Amino acid sequence: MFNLRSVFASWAILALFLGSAGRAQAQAASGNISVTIASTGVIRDHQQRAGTIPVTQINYNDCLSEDFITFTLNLGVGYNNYALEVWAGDSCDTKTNRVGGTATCWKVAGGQPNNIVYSQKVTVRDMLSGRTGGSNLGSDTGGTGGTGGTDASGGGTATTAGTDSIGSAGTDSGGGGASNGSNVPADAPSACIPTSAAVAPQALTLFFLLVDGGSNSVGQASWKATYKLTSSAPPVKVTPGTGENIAPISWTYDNNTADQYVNGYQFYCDPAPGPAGLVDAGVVVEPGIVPTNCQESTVLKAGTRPADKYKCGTADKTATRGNAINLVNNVPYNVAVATTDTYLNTGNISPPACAIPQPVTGFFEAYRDAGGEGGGGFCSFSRHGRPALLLGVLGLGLCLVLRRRRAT
Amino acid sequence: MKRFVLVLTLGLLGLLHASSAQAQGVDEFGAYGRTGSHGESSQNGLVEARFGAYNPRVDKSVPNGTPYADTFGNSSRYMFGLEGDWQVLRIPHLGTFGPGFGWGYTRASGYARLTSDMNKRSDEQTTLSIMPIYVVGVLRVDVLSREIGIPLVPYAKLGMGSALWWSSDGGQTAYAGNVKGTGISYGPQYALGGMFLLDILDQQTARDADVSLGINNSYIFGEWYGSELDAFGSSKRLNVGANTWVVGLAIEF
Repeated sequence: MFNLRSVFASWAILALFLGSAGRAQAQAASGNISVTIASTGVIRDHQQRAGTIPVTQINYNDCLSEDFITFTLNLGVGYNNYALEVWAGDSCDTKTNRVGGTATCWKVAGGQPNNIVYSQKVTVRDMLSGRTGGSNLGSDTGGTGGTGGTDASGGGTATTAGTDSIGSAGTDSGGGGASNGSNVPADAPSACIPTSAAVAPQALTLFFLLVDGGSNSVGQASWKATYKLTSSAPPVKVTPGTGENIAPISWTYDNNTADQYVNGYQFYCDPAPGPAGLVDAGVVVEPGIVPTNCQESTVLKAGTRPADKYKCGTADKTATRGNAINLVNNVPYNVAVATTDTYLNTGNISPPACAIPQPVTGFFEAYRDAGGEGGGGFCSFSRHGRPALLLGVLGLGLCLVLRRRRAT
Repeated sequence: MKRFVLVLTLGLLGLLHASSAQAQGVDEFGAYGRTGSHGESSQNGLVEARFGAYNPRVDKSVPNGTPYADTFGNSSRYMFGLEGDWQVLRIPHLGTFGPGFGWGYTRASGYARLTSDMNKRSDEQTTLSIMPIYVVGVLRVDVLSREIGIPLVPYAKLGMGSALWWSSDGGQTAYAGNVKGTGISYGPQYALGGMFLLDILDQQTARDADVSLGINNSYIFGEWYGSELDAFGSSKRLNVGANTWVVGLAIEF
């Protein structure tokens, strides 16, 4: 049945659609396209980092654990006529740095925005990938693989132009990964491997671009971050000592170059600390028998980063000695030291040394052994004491004060 | 012990009596809180920065052995401290009397011995930290400097002291079995000392300090002091008191 109301409604919807399309085109033509990052629009997925280090700092574990950052972008009216692309590198707003044989930027994300306020997720590993020649999302606009970002000795020459959706980035002629002596774990993703022996933070800039079909940028915003994937070299000489359930450790450098980013020291022990560590290592303690040496550790190898379960203590950045803790007496432990930095990286470990905790007699134990009966806490009061005397004297003093006040 | 309490009580009561006499208007230096007849600003108290040897009586409080000396050796440890005295009463032709509150800190450290061979030291640090706090009555005889011109001020202190102490092994609080290596000790405290008035060395500067900062006098001092922080003979307390000397600087304001 013919329905006049339906006809008018259809015409109204059609007119509204055509009108909005026309307005978008007009605004695009008048240059209203823009990209801005909302002031509170940068959120790290690893919320436990909040308040620990700035959101703009990226460390090795961020890369290893595939941390990602969600950016809230405000796009100008007419955004839907363009694609949003996220690039990393220097001056990526310049087309020739993104497209063609001399491209230095690498694309880390992209797509068609569906709202004027748009959330764009970027993984840390993708941000770093082009820098090391690792996996790159590639580009359907002809982008090449990355060539090293801002890392002086990193990167290299791109060998494969990324013309498909998953392009292959260039190999790292600068020597990434273990080849440069960084000795990250063998299973570390290539994107997370330092590209040089330099331990200072490196700069990295993300560019959020609205681009047209010809790869021309019509609106852009940038976000600067720094990344640091390894801590400073470990001490060269580690000297362990004997303590009860601990291993006092001291260390020295042959040639310590001051690193302003060093924030402390991390100790590692093999077997892992605690009784569970002995079970894992298959070590059986024989009461009363003090071993004389350690077997060579298959876990603590100089220049590597052992698993967290082998961590057995820390020390402050100004320290040259500390205690490996939670050890079992009469068990031989290999102990090693690594640096930690302000980016919360832990560096490679020093050559391990042998420590064998043993029971010791400290002052308080010696005092009690000698018949002393003191101790037990600050709040322990003896029946034999006379605290009333103290209160009496204090009372007299109070009387004195009151008397003085009356006199004046 | 009873004698100590008796002496302390009588002493304080006697001084209260002297104060009462003064309050009846016999003070030729003027009332407290007002400018004295010497042209100085009003004088209300004294602060001291103190430094001296401190060797606690730990080994005298145990029936067997010398655990303190065995662990930390016989060399002297030192204490830094601060004291503030409130000169509540001025006793005519004698000096001032009032309560004093003091705080100090000292720490002894050494390496624990191997239990399997007590002749050998381990690499584990063991420490004893002591923080004495005390309240004393302070009688300061400044009549010599104020009326005769001799720049010396003898003084005496008597009161109660207390000390927090804590022991650590390997950076952690020490335990002997289940007994925690921390505690509080208390007992009588006393001192005798003498102060040398520095103002006579540069009287103009002394006057300037009074006018601009309200500092009446400044001194260097030496003091012998003792404390018996064993809860009046209790064996349940670690006696961390000491008989020792102290030197320091003091200013009256």
